[in-house]
Amino acid sequence: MGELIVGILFLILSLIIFFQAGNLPDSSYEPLGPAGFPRIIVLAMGILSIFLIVKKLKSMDLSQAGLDFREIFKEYKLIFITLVNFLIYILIMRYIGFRISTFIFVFTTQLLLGPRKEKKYLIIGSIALVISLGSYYFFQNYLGVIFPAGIFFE
Amino acid sequence: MIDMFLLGFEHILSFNLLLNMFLGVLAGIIAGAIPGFTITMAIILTLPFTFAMSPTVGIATMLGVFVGGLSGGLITAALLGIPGTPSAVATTFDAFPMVRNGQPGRALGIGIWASFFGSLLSMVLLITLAPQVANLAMKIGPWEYFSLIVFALTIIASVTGDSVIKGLMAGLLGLLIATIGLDPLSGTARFTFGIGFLEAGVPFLTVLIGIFAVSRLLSELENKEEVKQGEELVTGKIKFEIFTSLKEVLGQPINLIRSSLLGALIGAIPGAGASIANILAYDQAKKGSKHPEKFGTGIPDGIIASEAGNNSTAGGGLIPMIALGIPGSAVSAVMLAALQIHGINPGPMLIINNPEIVGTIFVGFFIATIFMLLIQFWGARLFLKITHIPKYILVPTVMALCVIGSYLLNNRYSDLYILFVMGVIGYFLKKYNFSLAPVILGVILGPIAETNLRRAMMTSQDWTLFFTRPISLGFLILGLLSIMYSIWQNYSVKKKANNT
Repeated sequence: MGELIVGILFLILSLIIFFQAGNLPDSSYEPLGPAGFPRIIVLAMGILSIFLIVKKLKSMDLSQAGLDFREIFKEYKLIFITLVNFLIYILIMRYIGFRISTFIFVFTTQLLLGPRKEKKYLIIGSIALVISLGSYYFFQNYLGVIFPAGIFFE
Repeated sequence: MIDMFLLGFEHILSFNLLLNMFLGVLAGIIAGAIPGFTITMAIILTLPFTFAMSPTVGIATMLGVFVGGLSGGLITAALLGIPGTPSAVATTFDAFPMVRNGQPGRALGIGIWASFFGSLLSMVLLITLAPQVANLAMKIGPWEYFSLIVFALTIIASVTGDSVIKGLMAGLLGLLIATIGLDPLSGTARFTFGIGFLEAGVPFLTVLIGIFAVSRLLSELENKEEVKQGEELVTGKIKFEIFTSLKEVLGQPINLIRSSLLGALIGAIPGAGASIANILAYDQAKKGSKHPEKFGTGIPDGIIASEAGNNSTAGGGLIPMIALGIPGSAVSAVMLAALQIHGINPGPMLIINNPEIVGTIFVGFFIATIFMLLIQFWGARLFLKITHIPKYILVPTVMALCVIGSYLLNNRYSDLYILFVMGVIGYFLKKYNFSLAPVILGVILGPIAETNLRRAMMTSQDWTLFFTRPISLGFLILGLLSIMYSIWQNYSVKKKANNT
């Protein structure tokens, strides 16, 4: 089922790119132009994805198809949690800065993924601290990287 | 020739130089092991330090960083399944499964020895073949280049995993990702869909970190009960036997020599480099093997091919630099710059005017390789401890490092959005058994292929030139053979599996 969906997504992507490429300007001194190469790619990609879709449809028992989102969420709970944390981490970094957001991400994700009982706050706390502050000062001082400072440090 | 070596030794054997070189190798290994921190970046960061050094000390230090960096990617590739540098992508194919089978010490040991011998062999080639190979590299025009890339792309067919269709689709996806942003020739914005930051393009390293590292970390979390109980990557006692792995590496002389030759050749062609060489060497090892079906399950052959292949690009990359003053890669370009700052012009006259520089490069290369071996073996016991960290600590920590690595590249905040998207795409591709290496190959090779194809067409509308120029035709024939061979091999492996 999943592979079928991926195949369909690939096909849709090929179509979108193929028509998008039509809007790109032609070039008078260059035969291929900006649209030529991407079109070659998506043409091959479209054909292959149709192959994949047909192959999967043939081998699949359609009566069994179905998606139970609650079941999927339960099965992949930790991955969902981590991904959501990761996204929030990236999104809030520009507001609260690199140091605080990294600390929060590393700390809470370890907490949520770790054993339910006997939380090792000290260990995960110090790891989060070393990652967030250590990398910040190392890269800032030695390599001149400027991380987002955030509103609290401006 | 002998005089040059003596001159080189004379310059090398000073405490100051050896110390700088040692630090260079160490810094290179660490940089190589961190995903997102490339060898090129490490070399660029070394450049300011070399201003104050004499040219020989400066060049030797940079050589140290280069050789160390090429072997550093091995550590993360083997122990975490995340290539520390693009040159270690193929190392993950077999080293990581071997670690999973409970033999992390063996994987690391084999990788270190293979790097060592690859580096040494490429040094021999550097000294003996420099002028000849450099001449060949000069004959390469856009036609040859495009055909070379077509040949490299055909490797996709053999690293596809269980389905050729899906492997090719992954490769095409990589090619497509690389077209996002400003068109390399006309400067038109392509496929940005109104998102401003996409105009800068999708950095190849962000794709690498997202597709390989983030997706790998996510799939470590699939078994939620084990993670919750604080499961480690490798359970049980770790053995690390230096001489057993030496024997294993030396037991495969053909694989070792073939991979090193390939790596040196790819390194000598401007623009290609270690990121392609490791996959190409792996592919050739698989094609030449009596048991290709075992590749990817954690056998020494794959580790040897990839690590010898990437380390030997160091020697190869220096060939055009010394002989012609043309940088074969970004790394040797920075080294050239370092020499020019000191008023030394590399080129055909370098050997005559500055024999001490060439001598230092030759001898320094050898010493850097020895240092690499020493530091890696000394550090291996420490690195191996990584595998005993519980996953719930490892995953968030390495993820934060991925964010830092992606941010470091361009100091660009928007790259982090790309990282997230690539991580999700990578996870789903992995989940549905699309192999990931083709995506990376596509992203690396796509822009080179497109630029050269269009340049060739601009120079002359006659497309038959791709087939009539001998070197170009040679590459295309190699590409065709490579595809046919992989299909045949796939077929015979399946047949064998059906029979048993």
